[in-house]
Amino acid sequence: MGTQRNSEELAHSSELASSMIEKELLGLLVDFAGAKVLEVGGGDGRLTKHFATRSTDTVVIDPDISELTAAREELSANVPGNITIHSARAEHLPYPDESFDLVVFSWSL
Amino acid sequence: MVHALQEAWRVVRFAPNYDFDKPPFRSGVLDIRPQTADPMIFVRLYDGREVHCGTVQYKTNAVALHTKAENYVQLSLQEGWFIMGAERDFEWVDKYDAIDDLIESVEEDWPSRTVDEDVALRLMQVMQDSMPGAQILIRQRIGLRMLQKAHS
Repeated sequence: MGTQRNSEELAHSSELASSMIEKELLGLLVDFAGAKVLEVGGGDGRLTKHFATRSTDTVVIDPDISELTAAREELSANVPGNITIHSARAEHLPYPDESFDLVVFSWSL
Repeated sequence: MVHALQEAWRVVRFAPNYDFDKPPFRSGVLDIRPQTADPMIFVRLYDGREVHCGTVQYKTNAVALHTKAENYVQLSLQEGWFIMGAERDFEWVDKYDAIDDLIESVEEDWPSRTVDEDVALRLMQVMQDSMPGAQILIRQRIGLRMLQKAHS
């Protein structure tokens, strides 16, 4: 039991460190403040948390319903901000031309 | 068939006054994904030295999909849909203190990947020969690219 907990803690701390680097690089490359953002392949919402607090509107799409359910639970519990979650495919985006400031492919292109 | 990047180009705003050389950018397409090379597996010994034991390998057509995505990014730049605003990369590191944890994590989180038997045996051998406190590391390079819409 103790070994399992240590292992989980170790994996979590490692993922956290990598995630922090990712967050820092995102902040250096992109100014999300006030932006309308489309995140393609939002998955479980891990990356969404990095920018949804700064953007004006964030739309997350993923074709995987189970992933979207996880994202809804994670984001509604932990992230303030205007976030909409849709089931859609990246090859057919149901949005008008030039309707987003930023499109983010989260490990999904 | 329309490619995802083509759709992204359509829905993203064209910002004619952007400054190419100065991130952070306020518009464009951000592509974040692992680079093509397989993630490498190491054992970190108690004294900090690392022993390379192999890679986490693709088990499906994921390599082909990855190459296709990369080719499409290059095409979009050549065709003038986008301009490369900035590129960065970093190393994502996952740590485990047992082989079973590594195998379970790969099965659950990376369905397109596998740790083959030879690599698992090598890992087992190195872990057995190590002093207590050895850890298994997976190192993978992640690329971030900011593509800016070149015209409306």
